[in-house]
Amino acid sequence: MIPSNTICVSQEGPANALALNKDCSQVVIAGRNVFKVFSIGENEFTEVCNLRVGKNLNLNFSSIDVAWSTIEENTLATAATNGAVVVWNLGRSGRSKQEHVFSDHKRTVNKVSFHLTEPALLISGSQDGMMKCFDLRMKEVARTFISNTESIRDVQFSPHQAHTFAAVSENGSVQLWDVRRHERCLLQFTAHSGPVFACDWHPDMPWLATASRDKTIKVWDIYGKPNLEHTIYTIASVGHVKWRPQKQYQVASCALVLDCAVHVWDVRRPHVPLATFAEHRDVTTAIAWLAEPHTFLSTSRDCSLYRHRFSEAAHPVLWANPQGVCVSARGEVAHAAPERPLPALPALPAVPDRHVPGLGRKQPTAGSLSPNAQAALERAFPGGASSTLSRHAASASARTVALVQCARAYRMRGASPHDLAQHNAEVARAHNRHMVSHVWEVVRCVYLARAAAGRATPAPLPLQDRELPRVEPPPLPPYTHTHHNNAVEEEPLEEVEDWAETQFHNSGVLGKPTLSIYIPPAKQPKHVRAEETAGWVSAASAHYVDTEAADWTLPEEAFPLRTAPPPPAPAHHPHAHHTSPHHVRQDDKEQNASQRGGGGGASPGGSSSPGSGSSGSACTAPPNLDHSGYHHNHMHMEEGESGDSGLAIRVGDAKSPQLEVAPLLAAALKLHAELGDVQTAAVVMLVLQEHRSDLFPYIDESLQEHWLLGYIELLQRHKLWNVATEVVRCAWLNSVWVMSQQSTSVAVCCGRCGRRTRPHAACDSCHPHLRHLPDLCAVCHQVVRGLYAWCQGCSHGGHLQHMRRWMDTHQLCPAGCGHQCQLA
Amino acid sequence: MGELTATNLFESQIIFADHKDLIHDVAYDFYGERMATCSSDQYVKVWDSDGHGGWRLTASWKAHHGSVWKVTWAHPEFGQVIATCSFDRTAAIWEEVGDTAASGSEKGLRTWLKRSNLVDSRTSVTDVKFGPKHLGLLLVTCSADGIIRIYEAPDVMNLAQWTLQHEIPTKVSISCLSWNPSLSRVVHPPMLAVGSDEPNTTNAAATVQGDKTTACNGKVFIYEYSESSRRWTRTDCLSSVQEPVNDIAFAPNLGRSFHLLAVATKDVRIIKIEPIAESGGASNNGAALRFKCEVVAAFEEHYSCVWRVCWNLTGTLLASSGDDCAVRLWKMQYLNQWKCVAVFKNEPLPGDSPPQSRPHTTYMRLATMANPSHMPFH
Repeated sequence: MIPSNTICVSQEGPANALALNKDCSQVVIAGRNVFKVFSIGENEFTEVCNLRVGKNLNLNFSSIDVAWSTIEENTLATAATNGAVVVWNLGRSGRSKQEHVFSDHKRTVNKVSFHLTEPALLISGSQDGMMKCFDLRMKEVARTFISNTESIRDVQFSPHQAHTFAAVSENGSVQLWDVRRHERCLLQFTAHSGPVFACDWHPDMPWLATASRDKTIKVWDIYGKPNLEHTIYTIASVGHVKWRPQKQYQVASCALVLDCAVHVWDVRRPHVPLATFAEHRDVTTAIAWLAEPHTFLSTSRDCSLYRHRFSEAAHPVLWANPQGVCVSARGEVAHAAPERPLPALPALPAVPDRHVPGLGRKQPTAGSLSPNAQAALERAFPGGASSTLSRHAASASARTVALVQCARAYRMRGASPHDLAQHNAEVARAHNRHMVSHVWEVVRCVYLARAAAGRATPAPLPLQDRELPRVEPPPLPPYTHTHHNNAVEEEPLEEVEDWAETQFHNSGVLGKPTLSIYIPPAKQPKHVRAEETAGWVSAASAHYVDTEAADWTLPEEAFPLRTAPPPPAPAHHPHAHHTSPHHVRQDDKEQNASQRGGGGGASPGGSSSPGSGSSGSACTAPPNLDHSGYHHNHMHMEEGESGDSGLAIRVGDAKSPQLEVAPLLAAALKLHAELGDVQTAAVVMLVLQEHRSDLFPYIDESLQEHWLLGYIELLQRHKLWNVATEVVRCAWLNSVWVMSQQSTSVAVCCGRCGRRTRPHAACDSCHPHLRHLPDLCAVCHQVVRGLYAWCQGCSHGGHLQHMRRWMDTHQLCPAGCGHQCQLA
Repeated sequence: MGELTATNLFESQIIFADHKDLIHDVAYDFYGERMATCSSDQYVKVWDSDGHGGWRLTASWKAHHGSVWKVTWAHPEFGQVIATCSFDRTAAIWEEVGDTAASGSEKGLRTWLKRSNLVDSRTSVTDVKFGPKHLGLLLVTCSADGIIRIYEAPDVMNLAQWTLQHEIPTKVSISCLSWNPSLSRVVHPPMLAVGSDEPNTTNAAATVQGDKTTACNGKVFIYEYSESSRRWTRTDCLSSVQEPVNDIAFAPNLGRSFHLLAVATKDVRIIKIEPIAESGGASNNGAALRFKCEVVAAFEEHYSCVWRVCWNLTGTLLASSGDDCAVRLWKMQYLNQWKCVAVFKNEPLPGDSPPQSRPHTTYMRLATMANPSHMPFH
């Protein structure tokens, strides 16, 4: 029974190398301060013998590499830092097992390796660039191979041709030698662009894997001409490489720096390791398979020796994200998915807590697979290396196009709110956005009513009676002159707002709009105005009348509002001078629209055209609740509510009770914003111009800013720079308005050298002595005062008359720059 | 009616990406006119739209020494800049050089230069994201060892210099993160959501529970930056998500009072995070609950595991992909119900059919909806 868990033993010093005996029952580890033999038990390593004993522990005990004879049970060889190759005999009696020391190399020996069939042959590779073949019976150097490279990092006998060995060196070359011929190598080729640190012969194929500092493992077909079969890309310099037994395409590697883990690769999928073992906390120094594919040993600079079970492997491919999805600003969806997805892996029930001794980094999915799942993964792994990238786009007329078209066509200034609203409503309807159109209609009605009220006021007298200053600018405390119900007015407003908001927030993610703006009937009486106030007009409306009387095209009208928005005033009450003929007209239009939009029947795909029909019916009939979507219902409710409570929009009856429009409108805008349609919210706010202060009590400033910024970002994403700039220009919030001043700079350049100058100063570099002089005329060399005509091509110029005269007779620039000037 | 039907047709097209291994991420730029892909083959590719629905490869380079997990675009205000993160423990910032205004077709491949390499992580960098523009040029990375790092380029003109501003240890493996993109500076402080892919072993749970800052063993954490203490603190842990998280995405917030967070885990989840108005000013002591969180939708339609989620521009549509290799689009409908409105499925290639070398176009009709009028047209 094979024990299932990883085992580990810690040592006093880091081991540089390990070697297994031929039946894989014992392991020797060797390092600068450690040299021990362990027997590999079921669940632990047992120390068999410590070879680092004796009176004089000289440098011969500091090993870089260790090898265990593949034939002789008791023969070991180590490579020492001082250039010695030491042979050990475990069968010796006494404490010292040292058999013989070959001190033939001048510099550090990097590698020792036994011949696979000749028990007496040992080969070494050294930093001095030489390989020596030792005859253990004669205790002498049989042959010396001179590589003509700087230093040899690894030598290894081929399992396929008994007398061939491979040597890799720090200059990136690989050499094949016949052990019987030391004159010249059989074959030499440059394998890597950096030092090659290790090589390993494939047990079955004529393949040689080489590991290099260039972070790659290359697999060469050595049969005949060396041919690069595979290249594996790792994240760090590769220090060691070992083929996995019985798995043709799998090779294990460990890094020299940076990466502590051991990776097992499938050469057919060169970028992702098949399995990773990350138990070590420092870089792994050596790995060795236990002659079967499911277990290997590794030592590390963290002084530990591990036995890893393949079933404990972590599979990076399982936690790597195999898919990518992105939605673009244009509404396209890009999707990358594996062409051949990995087999579905039944997730094991949560793994019981196995506290691995010396637990290193946690690893997702480590050891989470059943053997069958792991085998399936192993099979599917090499083929899973391709993805399909596809894009899905709404053909031609995407839904975002409506947003863009609306953004282009919407008007935000230059007319009265109701005119703008009417225009925008038509725009929205033209793009099948009936809900939005509906909001605009409401805005139009409300503000048309107010405008009408404003226009009507000069005739009734209360305005003059109260000596309202008619040309007062908008920041005017609106209710200072009202005679009653001031406090009454403020108080319920707040309540209504709170109520509406809580209702709104309690109703699910985006509000349940049918309930969101229901005004409790109990509140209504407070909003009902006494009859005597019917003719009253608020200050803002008075101002409005003035501006209405003046030219509506003045766009600068909004400017004072930016810097000083009027204090949030309680909402003004629109008045009931909306005449019924107009209303009827609107109804007709609505009905037509609904017939147009919804005439096709029940499926106007994606948008809700019945909404347009409802506006007509809502004014005349009770709300038709089963009619349409929630959005519709919401609007419906608003309309219905206003109808029921006799909101002035509906009929021109001044005596009817009135209802606050502002909170309803604010709630509508909020709803739109929460539904992701910030465009409507922002543009309505913009269009309301100075009336938007009505809504300020219901929409706090940060939210207003949020809307504007959101809309601007939306426009920028669609590259609607002009519209975005327009929004910035119309914005009433300082924080938004300053955007027009950000990242806008004017650079002044010298007309002669083109270098940047300080504003209002001559160029420092080309006029050091004329520093105070401004631009001179290129013809008369006098200072130009007044009109300065200049060529846009070369930026030379001067007095207009001089330039004209010059250009009449000449083609080239008067300054002599050679430019063919054109004076427009 | 005719054109309305046409808008419901989605056009699907295969792009021959020629990546040598799995593509891990696809990212559109700010305008949706450029696209970057990254793959395990260590390459990053940049594609430009030709304006007629086609995509042309304009750059392809080896970006890392390991699998490139994520690619992300900076706001174009900072130039044509992307950031990548990789299994090789680094994140890199790349800038396109040369005349980007020149007309594309006759130009060859464009050059992207590595401006900076962020090497602080000791393990695989699993996600990288640029911060919202109004916070300056910020970059956040997270790594498998659970450390979130926030970098800032003090000089936006010098992309070579990035200073590590904050290092937030989380003690669990972090797989993904998302900035809260809210534009509202006043109401919403800088906020990050991170998701953990820590498997649910008892071992891991013990680790999380041993964490003193929270007794919650959820997999999604919310971090907020406090201007007063100049620190990022964990303000919430969504206990409703208990499974390993593969991807996480805040919906663009263009004017909502709450945030929507999509989480890709065993299912697609949409979580509404509503900041609770603080009554007494800055009561930011961690004990007070900052958010009201509510799972508004959870879908199991993806076969076993959801890998990616992504929102559209306005935060009204969510795209997700999972082990079924299909993209599903989710949209909110009547009564706050989120419904699947479309499924795009790439047919897995049988056996050894040749790769699709020629782009071909298929058309797909949107899934029928319960009642079209239930979908507001936004």
